[in-house]
Amino acid sequence: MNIAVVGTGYVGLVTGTCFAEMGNHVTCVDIDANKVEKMRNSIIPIYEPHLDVLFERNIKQGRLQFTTNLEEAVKDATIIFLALPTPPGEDGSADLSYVLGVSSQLGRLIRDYKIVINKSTVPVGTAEKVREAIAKTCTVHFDVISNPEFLREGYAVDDFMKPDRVVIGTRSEMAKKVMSDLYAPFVRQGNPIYFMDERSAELTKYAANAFLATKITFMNEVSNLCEKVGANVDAIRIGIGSDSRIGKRFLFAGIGYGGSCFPKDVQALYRTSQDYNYDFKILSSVMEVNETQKTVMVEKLKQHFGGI
Amino acid sequence: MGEFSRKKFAVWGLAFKPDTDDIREAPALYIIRDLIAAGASVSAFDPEAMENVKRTIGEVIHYANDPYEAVQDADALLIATEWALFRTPDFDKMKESMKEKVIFDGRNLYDLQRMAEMGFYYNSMGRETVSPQIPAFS
Repeated sequence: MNIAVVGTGYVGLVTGTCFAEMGNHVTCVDIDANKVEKMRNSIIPIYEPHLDVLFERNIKQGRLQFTTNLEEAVKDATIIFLALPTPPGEDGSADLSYVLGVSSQLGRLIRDYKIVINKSTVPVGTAEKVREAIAKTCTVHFDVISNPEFLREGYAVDDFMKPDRVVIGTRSEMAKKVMSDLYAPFVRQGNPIYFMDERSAELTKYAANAFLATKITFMNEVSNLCEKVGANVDAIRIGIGSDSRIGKRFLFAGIGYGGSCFPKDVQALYRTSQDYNYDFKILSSVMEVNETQKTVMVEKLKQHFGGI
Repeated sequence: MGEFSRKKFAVWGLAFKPDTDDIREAPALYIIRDLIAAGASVSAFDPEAMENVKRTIGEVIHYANDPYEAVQDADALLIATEWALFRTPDFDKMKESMKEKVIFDGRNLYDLQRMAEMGFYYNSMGRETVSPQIPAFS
C-alpha cells in the first residue's frame, strides 16, 4: 500500500519505517527542509535501538522516502497518517494547531478516497475536528479515524512490529477493511485488532498512559511509606506482583515518572475532564505526588549532609 | 553559598528511563537543578542522553566520559536512571576514587547486604539505609 506519514518526530519515524519494512511504500513529510535532507542521506534524527538498521535498509530499497511537499506525499497514498506534535498549551490541554493546520491543507489536496489517521495522542473529539477542517475545502469522500500508538521508547521497533493490540477508532466499513489489511502482517501471532468508535479510541490511549502513571505513582507512595515504617518496597513489589490482577510489570518504585508521554498525557486528560465538568481527583493527586517524588533524593541528601 | 557548597555529586543517568536519549521531564534534570541551586558541583554520565542535556542546560555540570570518571572525588553518587551498565559496576574501583563512599540510589539497583559489606553508605528507595556501621537486616 502507499502510505503518507505527516510529521517525522518519534511516532512518525517509527510508524513510517515499520510500515516500509512490511513492504509498503511510505513517504514521510516534514516542514523542516534541513531534517528532510538529512533523512534522505540516511541520517536518523532520533536514538532508538534497532530502528537505524530498518531505516537505512528501507531508504536504500526505495520504500521509505522523504519530502517537504505535502501534496506530493499524499497524491498516491490512500492512507495518510498524522503524526504531528501536540504540545501542552498554557492551560495543560493539548495544542492542536499543527494537526488542524495540516488538516486544512489536506482538504485542498485530496482528490480521491483517503483515510486520514490520527496517530498522535490527541484529545477526545479530535477526529471530528480534523474531519471538519478537511471538509471545509474537500469535495470527495474521505474518512478520519483514530489509531493511537502504544509503543514504548527503547522498544519502539519491537512494540510496533508485534503490538499487544491495535486499536482502531472508526465506524466506516471501508476504513475498517483497509486497516485490517494494513495491520494483518503485524498480528500474525493472533494479537487482536480492536475496532471501536473514534472517541473511545482517543480516550483509550489517555486511559492507558494515565493508568500506568498512576500505577508507578502508587508504588512511589508505598515506597515513601516503607521508609517511614521500616519496610522493604521491593519485597512488597514481589509480594503483590504475583497476583495476576496486579501483574509484575510497572511496579518499580523510583524517583518519579518523566518522558514525553506520561506527564503530558496525565495533564491533558485532567484538563479534558475539567472541560467536561468532571473533577478527575486521582489524576490531580498523581501529578502532585510525582512533582514531589522527582526531588525526594535532594531532600535525602540535605538530611545526610545537613550540619556539615 | 548554598547547603551543598564545596560538595561534588556524581549523577549516573540523565534520560528519563534506560535505552533512550529522551530527557523530557527527566527526574535527573530536576535533581541537578536543585543541586546546582544549593551550590553543589555535578559530574554526570549517561550512555546516550548527554548531548541532549548539554543542549538544554549547557556547561553548568561536568559531562564525564564514563561512570568511573563521574564518581572521581565525589561526596556522593546519585543514580537516576537504571541503565544496564550501572547494574554491576566495579565497586572496588569506585571506592578508590570516590571521596566518600556514599550512594543514593533512586532505582534500587543493588543488594543491601552486599553494599554494607562493601563498605558503602547506601540509601535507596523504600528500603532501609545501610552502612558498614548499620548492616542490612538479614
